Amino acid sequence: MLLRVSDLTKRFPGVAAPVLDGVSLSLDAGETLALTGESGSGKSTLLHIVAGLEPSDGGAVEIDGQTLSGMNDAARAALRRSDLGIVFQQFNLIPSLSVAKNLAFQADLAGAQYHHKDVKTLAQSLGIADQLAKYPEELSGGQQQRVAIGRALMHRPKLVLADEPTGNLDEATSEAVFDLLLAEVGKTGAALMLVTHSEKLAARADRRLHLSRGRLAE
Amino acid sequence: MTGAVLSALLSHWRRRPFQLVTLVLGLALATALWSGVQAINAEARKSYDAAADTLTGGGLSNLVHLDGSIPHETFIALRRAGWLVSPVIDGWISAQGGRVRLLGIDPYTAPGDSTIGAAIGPDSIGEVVGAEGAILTNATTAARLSALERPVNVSNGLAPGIALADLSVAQVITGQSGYSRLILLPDQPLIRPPLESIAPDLTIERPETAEDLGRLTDSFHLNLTAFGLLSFAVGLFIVNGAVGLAFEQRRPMFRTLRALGATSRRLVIMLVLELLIFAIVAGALGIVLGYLIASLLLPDVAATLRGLYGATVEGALTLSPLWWLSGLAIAVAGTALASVSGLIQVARMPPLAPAKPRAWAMVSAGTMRWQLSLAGGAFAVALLAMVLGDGLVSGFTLLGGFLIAAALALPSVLAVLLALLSRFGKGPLVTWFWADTRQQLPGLSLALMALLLALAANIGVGTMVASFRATFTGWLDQRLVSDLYVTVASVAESSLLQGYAVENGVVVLPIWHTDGDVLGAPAEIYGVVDHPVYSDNWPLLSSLPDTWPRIAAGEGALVNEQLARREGLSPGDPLPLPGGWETVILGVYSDYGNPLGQVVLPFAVLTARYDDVDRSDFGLLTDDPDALRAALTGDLGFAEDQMVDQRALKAFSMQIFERTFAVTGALNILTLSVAGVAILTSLLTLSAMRLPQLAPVWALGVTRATLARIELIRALVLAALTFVLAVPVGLALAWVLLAVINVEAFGWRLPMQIFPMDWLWLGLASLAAAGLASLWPARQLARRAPADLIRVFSHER
Amino acid sequence: MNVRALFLIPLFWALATMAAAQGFAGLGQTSDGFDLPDPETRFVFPQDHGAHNGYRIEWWYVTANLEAADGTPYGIQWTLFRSALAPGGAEADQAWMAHAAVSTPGGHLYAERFARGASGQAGVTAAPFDAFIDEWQMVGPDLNDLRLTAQGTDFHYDLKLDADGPFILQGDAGYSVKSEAGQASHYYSQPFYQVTGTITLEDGPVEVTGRAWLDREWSSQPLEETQTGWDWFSLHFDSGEKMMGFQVRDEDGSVYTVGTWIDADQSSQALTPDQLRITATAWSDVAGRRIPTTWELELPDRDLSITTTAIYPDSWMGTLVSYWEGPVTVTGTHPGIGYLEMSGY
Repeated sequence: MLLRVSDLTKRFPGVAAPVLDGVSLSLDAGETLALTGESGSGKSTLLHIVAGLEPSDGGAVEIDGQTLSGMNDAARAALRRSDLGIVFQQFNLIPSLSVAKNLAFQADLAGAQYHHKDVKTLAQSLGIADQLAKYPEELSGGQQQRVAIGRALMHRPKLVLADEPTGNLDEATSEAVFDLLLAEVGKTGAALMLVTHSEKLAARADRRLHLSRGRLAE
Repeated sequence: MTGAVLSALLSHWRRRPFQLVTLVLGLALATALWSGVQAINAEARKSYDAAADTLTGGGLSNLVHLDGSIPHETFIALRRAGWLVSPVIDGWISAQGGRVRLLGIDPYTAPGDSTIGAAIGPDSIGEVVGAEGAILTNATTAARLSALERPVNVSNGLAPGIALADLSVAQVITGQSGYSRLILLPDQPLIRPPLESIAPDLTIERPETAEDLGRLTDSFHLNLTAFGLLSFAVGLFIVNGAVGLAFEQRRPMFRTLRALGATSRRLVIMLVLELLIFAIVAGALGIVLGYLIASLLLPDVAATLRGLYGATVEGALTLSPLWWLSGLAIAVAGTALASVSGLIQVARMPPLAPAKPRAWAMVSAGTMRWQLSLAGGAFAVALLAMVLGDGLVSGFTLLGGFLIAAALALPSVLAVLLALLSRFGKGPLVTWFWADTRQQLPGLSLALMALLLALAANIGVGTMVASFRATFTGWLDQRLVSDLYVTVASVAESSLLQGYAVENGVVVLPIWHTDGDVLGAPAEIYGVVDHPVYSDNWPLLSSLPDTWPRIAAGEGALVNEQLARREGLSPGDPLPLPGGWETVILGVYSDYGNPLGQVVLPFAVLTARYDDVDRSDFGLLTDDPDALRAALTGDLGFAEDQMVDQRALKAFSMQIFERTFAVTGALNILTLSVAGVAILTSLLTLSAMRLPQLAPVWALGVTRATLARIELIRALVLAALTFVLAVPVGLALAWVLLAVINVEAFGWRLPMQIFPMDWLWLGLASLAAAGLASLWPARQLARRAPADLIRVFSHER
Repeated sequence: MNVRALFLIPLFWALATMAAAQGFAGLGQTSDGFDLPDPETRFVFPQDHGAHNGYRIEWWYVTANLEAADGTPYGIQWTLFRSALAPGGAEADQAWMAHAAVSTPGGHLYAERFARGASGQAGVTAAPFDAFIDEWQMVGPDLNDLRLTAQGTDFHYDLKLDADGPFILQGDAGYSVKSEAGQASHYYSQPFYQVTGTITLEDGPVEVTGRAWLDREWSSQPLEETQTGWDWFSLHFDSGEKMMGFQVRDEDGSVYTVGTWIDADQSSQALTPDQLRITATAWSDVAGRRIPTTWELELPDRDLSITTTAIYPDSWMGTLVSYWEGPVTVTGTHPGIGYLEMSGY
C-alpha cells in the first residue's frame, strides 16, 4: 500500500459545512486514481493535504509507511521533493529558468542522480525536445504543461499528484497532454492521483472516486 | 538542493538585468556617498592627530611659563637639577598659501621615541643640527617653502603644514631667544628637587590632544557626515524599492519552490545569501566610487579647513583597511535594513500563498495614518531639541527630526492635495487621471519622500550658501576699508612708507596686532587709529552710544561676534585682557570666516600696553591703488609680494568661501540624482503591476500613446507638488542651518535672504528628473504589445 | 630624536681605538682640520685635565670596584665623552655624551645623557676640576680629590674619590699606540683612588668602599678599518701591583696587545706589543650576544698567569653605542679585582 488516507476532515474558517468530512482511500504502487467532483467539492483540498501543502483537521495520511501528521515542515518538504511529483493546473514553471533547467529542477532540488541524456530522452518522449533552450513564456500552454509533467517525473517519484492538469488547455491539447501524462507515469511505475472535473478523462484511470460535499462515493 | 534553489533565485536577475542594475546602483551610490564623506573625515582627523602629536611631543607633558617664554638659563637650571626636559621653540615661517608652523627642537635632549624623534633619522641628523642645519617638512609643505633661502629636507612622516628644525635654526628664523615650552621626558631620574625650588614660575601642562583642533572643525565634519547620512538614506529608498520589487515578482517562484519541496528556512537562507552577494559587490563598487568622490572633493575640503581654521590636511587620500571594511559593513547593513521586511514575509509565507503579486508598494490608508503619527512624533522631538537643547548635536537633532517629519507626512499631505485637485476635473479621462494618481500615490510615496528630502536639502543649503555669500560680500566691502595693504620688512621700511605717505597725501592706517589669550582662548588683539573710514564702514552688530569717539579717546574696546557669543559678552561688559588689565566693551562687530576671537583696541592703548606688537602691516587709502603700488615698488623699492590690493584680497577671501561650499554643492547634486533614480525605479516597479489597471482603460478606447502621455504627466504633477511642498521645508531647513547650526558651529549668525530664482531652476531640475525618470516606463507602455494587455483579461495574472 | 646618531660614527671608532693615531708619514700634521696626537707632547697638569677641543674625541672615564659592609660586590662607571662636530675647537661645535652604570646583584643599571656644546648643560673645567652633564658631576677641588655623582631612573650614586698616588702616563710618556699602523692617543690614568660613598637603589641606600680607576684619553683618528673591537682590563692585585692591558682585535683574527705594569711602589713600565697574552676561555649569553666573560692573561716576563671572571655577566651597556663593562675578580698567580670592558661583540 503506497498511500493510505483515513478519515480525513478539513474545515475552512467561516464556512459552516466541512470541506472534507471523513474521507478514506488507499492507492497501490503503479495504480492510477481519478478524483472527480464539482467545484468546491474539496477535491483540490484533498490533493493539497496529501501533498503536505495544507494541514488537515483530523484523520491521517500515510505515504509509503510515513505518516504526514507526525512530520514537521522540513520533513514534509523533504518528502515532497523526493517522493512526490506535482502537476499544477497553472503549470507553475519557473519563468526565469530555461525549459531544460525547469525539467531538471526538482531532480536538482531532490539531489537525484540523473544524466543530461535523461533530460533529452524525457523531453523527446514529451515532444518538447526542440524547446529545451527556450523560456516558459515562449511556450504554448500545452507545451508548458508537458514541461511541468516532465519536471514532476524526472526524479522518479513514487506518487504523482495532478491537480486539473489540463484545466487550462483546450480540448484537443488536453487529450494529448493527458495521454502523455498517463503514458509517462506508466513508464516510471509511479502511482497517480488525479483531480479532474472531466468524466471522460477520469474514465481512463484504473479507479475513480467521486467527491461530493466532502464525502467519497464510487 | 542549495544549488538548485540559489540558481533559480539568481536566474530571476538574469532575466531582469535592469532590476539588478538599479539594486546594485542604489546600494553603490548610497555606499559611495557615505564612505566618501567618511574618507574625507578620516583623512582630516588623521592630519589633526599627526599635527597634535608633533606639536605637543606625542602626548608628553610640558613645562610652560604662564606669560612668556622660558629663558635658556631656566632650562639649564632644570637639567642640572636632574629634571629631564627638552626645549621647544614654537613659531611660524611664512610660506606660499599661508604660514607654516615651525618647531625648533633640541635633538640632544628631545625624547627619542616621539614623533619628533622619528622624523630625524641617523641619515639626516648631521644635516639638521647647527645654525646652518636643514628644515624638515613633508613633501607638500616643502614645496610651499621653496622660496625660503635655507635647505629644506623632506621627511614624509611629518604632518602637513609643520616644519621641524634645530633650535639654533629656529632661533634665527623666529628671532626668539627663549623657549616656548619644555617637553617633560616620560622617564625621570631617581632623585629630583621639587619644581618650585628651581623654576617657580613654570607649571606642568598635561598633554594636549588633537581635541582642540577637533572641536574647532567638528562642526564642519558634522555637516559633511549629515550630508553623507542623508545621501545614504536616499540611496536606501532605491534599494528598498528594488529588493521589494524583486521579492514581489518572485512570489510565484517562491510558491513553486515551496510546493516542490524547498523548506522556508532554506529559501530565506538562500535569499539572504543572494542579498549578501549583492551587498558585497555593490558595496565594493560603492567604496571605489566613494574613493573617487573623496579624492575629488578632498583638495577643496583641505583648502577650506586651512582657510577657515588654519587646520592643515593632506590633499591626498591614504585610507586604512578599516575604512574599506566599514564601507562594506554599511552596504551590508543598508541592504539588511532595506530587505528585512521582505525576508520576514517570505519566512512566514505558507506554501499555498496566493501567487498573484499583492501590490507590495500599495501602502494602505492605515499605513499612511501610521506614518502621519510617526511624523508627528518626529516633529515633537525636533521641537523638544529646539526648546530644550543647545549645542550642535541638538541642532542636528532638530534638523533630522524636522526632515523625517516632513518626509513621513508627505504622502498624507499629497493625498489631501490630490483630493482637492480632483474636484476641478472634468470629463471621464481627467476624473480617471486623478483617481488613478491617488491610487498610485502610496506606491510612489517612498520615491517622493526621497525627492522631497533631496529638494529640501537643496533649497535649505542653497539658501544658506546664498545668504552667506550675499552677507559675506557685503561685509567684505565694508570691512576691507583700505585700498592697498602693505607689509614692511623692517623699521626702516616702515618710516620710509610713512614718510612717503605724508609727502603724497596718502592716508596710512597701521594694522598692528598682537596675539594673546582672552578669556582663556587664543585671540587676536588689533589697534585702530582714529579715522572716519572706520566709523563710516565698520559693521557693528551692537554698540554703546558714541562708540567711535570713545575709541578715539582711548576708552574701551570692540570685540568680534565670535568672542561675544562664546563668552556671552555685550556692550558695556568689562573685558579682561592679557597683561592683567581690563577695559570695557563698546561694541560688537561681525567677523565672518574667522575662527578666533578678536579684540580691537584704540591704537595708542595697544602700543602702550603691549611690547611685542607686530608692527609690519599697514593699510593705505588712495584713489589710485595701481599708481600707488607702482610708486612704492619703483621709488621706494618695495617688493611686489609685500603688497596686496583690496581687489586681490577680496578675490582671495571669496575663493576660500567658494571652496567651503563647493563640497556642499557637489553633494547636493549627487543627492538629487539619487532621488531621480529612486523615482525611476519606483515607476518601473509600478508599471509592471499597473497593466491590470491600464488594460481596461485601453480596452475602452484610449490609445497606448495617450496612456503613456498620461503616465508622464502624472509623474510631472507629483514631482511638481512635491517641489511645492519642498520649498517651505527647505526654507525651514535654511533657517535651522543659519540661526541654529551656524551659530553653534561657527559662532556667527547670518541674516537669511531668499533667492526665488534659484528655486525656479531647482523646480525645473526636479521636473526634469521626474520627467526623465518616467520617460522610459512611459515609452515601454506606449510600445507594449496589445497581446500583453489582452492577457490581463484571459489570465489569472 | 637621534642625536645619538651624531655619536655613532666618531664614537664607535673612538671607543674602539681608545685613542687615535697617525702614521709615521703624517707625523705632526692634521687631518680634516683636527689636531693629531704628537709623541713629543708632554702633559701639563692641571690644564690637561680639561678639554682638548681641537681633537675630535675625548673622555673622562671612571670605573670603581666597590663592596658593601656585608661583602656584596658592586661596580660603578662614570663616563663623559666629548665629540667635536667640526674642527676649530669652538665650544658650540662640541657634542657631549655621558654614560653611568651600577653593576649589582639585582642587575646592571645604566643611563645615558646628551648635551649640546656651549649650552651650559655639559662641560669640563681643569681647575678647580669640574666635569658635568646635567646633574651628573665629577667635581674636585682637583682630580685627586673628587666627588662623583650620577643617576638614572633606578639608581643614584654619590662617591668620594681620594687618590694616594701619581698619574700614570700610558704608552710612551702618555702617547699610546693602538695599532701596527701607528694610530695613537694621548692617554693617562689615575689608578690609585680610594672610594667611600653611597649607592642608592630602589631598595634604598647602600654604603660602599673600594677602589677606582680614571682614564683620560683624547685623539682624532679612528682604528684601522679592519679592527673590529677590543678587550680592555684595569686590574688591582692584592700585592699592591696594578696592570692595564688591552687587545684590539682584527677581523683576520690577529690582535694588537699593549699595556702598562704598575709596581707596588707606584712606578710604571709600558708593556711592548705582544708581551701580554689575553685569551677568552668561557662565554655567557648577554643581550642576545655571546660575550666572553672569563679570560686568561699571561705575562711570562713577570710570571703572571691569571684568570679574570665577570662578577655580573649581565653588565651590558644597552646605550646608543653598546658594549660590556663590569667588575671582575682575578685569580691565579696575582689574585685581585678589576674592571673589564669589551666592545665589538
